[in-house]
This record gives sequence, C-alpha cells and structure tokens, in this order.
Amino acid sequence: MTALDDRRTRGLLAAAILVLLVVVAQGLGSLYPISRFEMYAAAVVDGASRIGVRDAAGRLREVELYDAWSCDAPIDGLARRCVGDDVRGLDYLDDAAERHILAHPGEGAEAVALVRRIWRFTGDDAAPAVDECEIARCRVDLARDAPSSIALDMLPSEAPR
Amino acid sequence: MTAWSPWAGRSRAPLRIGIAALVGVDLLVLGWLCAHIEAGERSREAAPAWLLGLGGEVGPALVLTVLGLVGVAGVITRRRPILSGALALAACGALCELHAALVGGPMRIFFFAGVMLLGWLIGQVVHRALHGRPRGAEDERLAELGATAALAANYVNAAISKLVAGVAGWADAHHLQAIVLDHHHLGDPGLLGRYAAAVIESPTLALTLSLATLVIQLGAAALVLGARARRLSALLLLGFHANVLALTHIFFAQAMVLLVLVSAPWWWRRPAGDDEPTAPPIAGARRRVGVLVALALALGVAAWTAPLRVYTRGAHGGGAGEGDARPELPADVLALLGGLEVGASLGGWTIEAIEARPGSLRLVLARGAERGTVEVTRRGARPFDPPARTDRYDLFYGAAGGPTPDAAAIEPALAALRAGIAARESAIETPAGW
Repeated sequence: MTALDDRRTRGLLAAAILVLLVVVAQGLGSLYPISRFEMYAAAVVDGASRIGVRDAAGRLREVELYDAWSCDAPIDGLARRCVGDDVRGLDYLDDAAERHILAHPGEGAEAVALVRRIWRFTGDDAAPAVDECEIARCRVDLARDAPSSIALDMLPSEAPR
Repeated sequence: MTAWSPWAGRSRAPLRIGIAALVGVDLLVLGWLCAHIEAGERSREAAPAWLLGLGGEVGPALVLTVLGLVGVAGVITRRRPILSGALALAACGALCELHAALVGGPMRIFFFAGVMLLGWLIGQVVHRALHGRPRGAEDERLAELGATAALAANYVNAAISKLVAGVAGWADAHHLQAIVLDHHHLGDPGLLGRYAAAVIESPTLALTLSLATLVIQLGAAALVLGARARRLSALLLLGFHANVLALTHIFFAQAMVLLVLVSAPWWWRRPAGDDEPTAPPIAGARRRVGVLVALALALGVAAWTAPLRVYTRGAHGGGAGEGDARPELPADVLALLGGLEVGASLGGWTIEAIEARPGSLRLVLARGAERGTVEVTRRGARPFDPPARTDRYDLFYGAAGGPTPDAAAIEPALAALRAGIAARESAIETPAGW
C-alpha cells in the first residue's frame, strides 16, 4: 500500500467521501448533518407571492415594520390566505409574518391593509403581472426601530391596485 | 507544482478549532430553540409523539447541549478527538432533528459545520486505519481533506438536486425571478432593491445567475483538487452566497466562514509547502480499510432502502414530507364528493382541506380573508335543523378558527355541495359508520 502522502491515496479518500455523502444525501434526504439541499431545486415558473402591508399612501411594506396590530378579521393561517392553484406562497415567510402580528397586538393609529402581493409571469420577456388580494384591514403603528426611509414598491411598473 | 492544500505544511489547529466552535454555536442556538418551542401546528405530523413531547422542555435540551459542548471541548483540545467529535455530532444531531420536527423541517444553516466535523472524523478514522494512533496531529491532514470533501458534497448535492428536479426549470429565468420575488424585502429603496428589481425585470440576467449557480455548485468538487483550485472554487462559492444574500436575504453565514477557513486564512501568501512525509501504513491496514469501505457501502445502500427515508425525505420549510401524508379519504366519502378536491372552487369558496371524521365529512373553505367549514352528516344524526339537506344527508356550516361566516356568504358553497350530493346519493352507499 502506498504512503499516506501519496496523491493517489488523498484523491481516493476525497472522492470516496464526496461520493458517499452525495449518495447518502440523495437517498436519505435530510438527516443531520447530511442533506441534499433540495430547498429551491423544484422549478417554480408561474409566479410568486408575499404577505405585505399596503399603507394609506399606497406604499407596500414589510409586515415586520409595524407593531400595535388590530385587524377586522382573524389573521391565523396566513399561509393559506389568497393562495390557490395559480398562486402559491412560502409558508415559512407567511408564518413569520403571522407570528409577528400575533406577537405585536395593540391599537395602532394608522389604517392599513394586510395583503398578499401576487406576481404572475405571463410571457418569456414580460415583467410579471401584479395583483393583490386583501386579507384584512388593520390599524398599526410604525415600529420605533423601523427604517425612516420612504418605502418604494420594488418595481417601478407596479402601481397599487 | 501547487501544494495539495492551502494548509499543507501548517498546523490545522485553527481549522479544527473553527469547525468545532461553530458546532458549539449551533448547539447553543439549537438548545435554546428546542427549550422554547413547543409542538404545534407547524410540527411534522410524521414525527413520533415522544420526540415532539420534548419540545419546550428545558431539561432534555440542556442535557444535549452540555453533552455536545463537552464533545466540542474534546475536539478543540484533541482529548479523545474521535469520540469527542462523535459525541458533539450526536448531540447536535438530536437537537437539530428535534427542532426540525417541531418547526416542520430542518434548517440547513446548521448542516455546514456539522458535515465538516463528520468529514473531519472520517479522515481521522481512515488515518488510524492506515497508520494506527497518530504522532502528534498528523491525522489532521486527512481530517482536513475529509472535512473539505464533506463541504464540497453539500454544494454538489444542491446542484444534483436541481438537476434531478428538472434542468428545464433552472434553464427558465422565471424560476430565479420567482425566488427573488418570494424573498426580497418589499419596498426596498436601496441599492440591493434596485439589483433585485433588475433581476426580476431582466430574464437574461436571471438566467445567467441561474446557470452560474449550477456551475459553481457542481464546481465545488474542485475544493479537493489542490490549493489553487480550492481557493478559486471557494471564491466563486463566496460570491454565490453573497449574491443569494443580496437577492433573498438568506444568509448562510456559517458556510461563508467555513469556506474562508478551509480555503486559507492566508489568502495573500503562497502555501507554505507540502507536509512532512507520513510513515508507511502499518500491518493490517489493507484489512482495516476494507472494513471501512464495506461500512461505507452498507451506509450507501441503507440510505436508499431504510424505512427511515420515508421520514427524512420530508419537504423543506414546514411542508408535508412523504411521511406526513394525511390518511387517504375513504372511497365512499370520496364518491360522495364526486371528485371535489383540495384547491377546487365550491360556490365561490376555495376548498382548503377535506377531513373525514367519525360520522361526518368536513370541508374547510376560504374566500379572501374569510374562512369557514361545511359539514355533511347522515340526515337526522344531529338534533338541529340544518341550513341545507338532501334526501339522505344534512349539511351544516361553521367557523374555522375565527368567526362563523355570514349565512348569506357561505350559502353558495352549501348549495353547490348540496346539489352535487343530491345528484349522486342514490347511487352511493352511505359511508360506513355514519
């Protein structure tokens, strides 16, 4: 057998570990500390959506920028709101928004709408079509630690609906 | 000729300590999370009750964290390094799997230091199989190689998963654009917001980044091809992570630190040179290596055949995995529904869930912010006048975790379901047990 420092020995060991961990991960899925990292592997090409806040000035902002929430409808199960065959959301982000709202109740002074922002791809080169589904009307306060900059919609072409 | 590793000719202690310290951080974070999170709606249905029962309990989380930290300390000080490393991995694994069961899926940010420690241990075990007990820290040469190969495996796995899921998707610009839209902060007026907008509005840029992701991740195999290749691959991977952070705010900090550590803390200096020669293999090395190869083969086969994979192949981020599949609805109940399924429209409402209960069938409906339920029972089974009925069944409506929907609002759904059941009921046996 060749000495340990031989290139061939090192190459064989590196290849063996690499192949072993790939084979195990692809077969097993995820079991600490091995994973196939399939989180964003499956192609999603129809569109996207996010839970957000439409303020009185028509700006779309993150839920986490606000506290002192009170809404005119229950907001439990946000991940299931305004989704369907052609609209999907990311559960963990929707759940995080829901947890934030539930963890910051109050009687805010600003009237806003809790919405699901929906983007649908309509063609190869076209910008995504934008839609919005209102989930609830709420009163909130801008959180003290929220950035003071004026929020803008992400795409210049997106007009609030 | 370039050195085989940026660490060649140097002590690997900083790398060993860095990996162990990051596992220690994972232990503390996971221990805290497991002690504070109780089983709930997000928890995996397929997880055993005893496991979920540990959620929110300080005792088990504390014990596992302390055991793991003892192992980490052993790795750092090289006191029984293989046993200590195995202890740290086992404790961190238990906490990570408990956390994954509680929140519905594993957080992969914890998998980088862990897999590198696993690779490190494999390298040490192989060294012992070849050379017996190491003189000093000479076993850390193969440990470093093992850890690097394990880190590379993470990225190669990510690329293979994308290829397996479908090359076509990753060759479609909309895939990355959807990921950015899903994640990038709403109303971001800064430079990163403009960059995200550019990716969303430019299919060419999005497609370029998608394909670059595949190439860079597959190219991570070059991490084990020598010092120069390792540094180049690590730089590309760091760029990939920075781009992911800019576009989606997903921060794999641990992976980035490990990439810097493994590819060299001395980027501005040439590698020190090669390691001192190691003694030749000891007697019986061939047999020991044979045993290790057999174990590896068995592990590979087990990964594709063990019943455990039904559970561990669960989906990402709280989605239901294969092991989370709800029991199928009985055939007689399905027949009553006449093909209605989750996601279908019913009188202007969307069906969120269909549940077969003892003596009834329950549909959870949603329409915008409103939610409600419609329940079907055998006629006369409940001492109430139903708002709708057929010859054989009563239909009720109710709340679904909030206020009861307005009668006028839910009426179209009731009417649609009533009409469907009325048209089919004469040809279908009443479901068993109703």
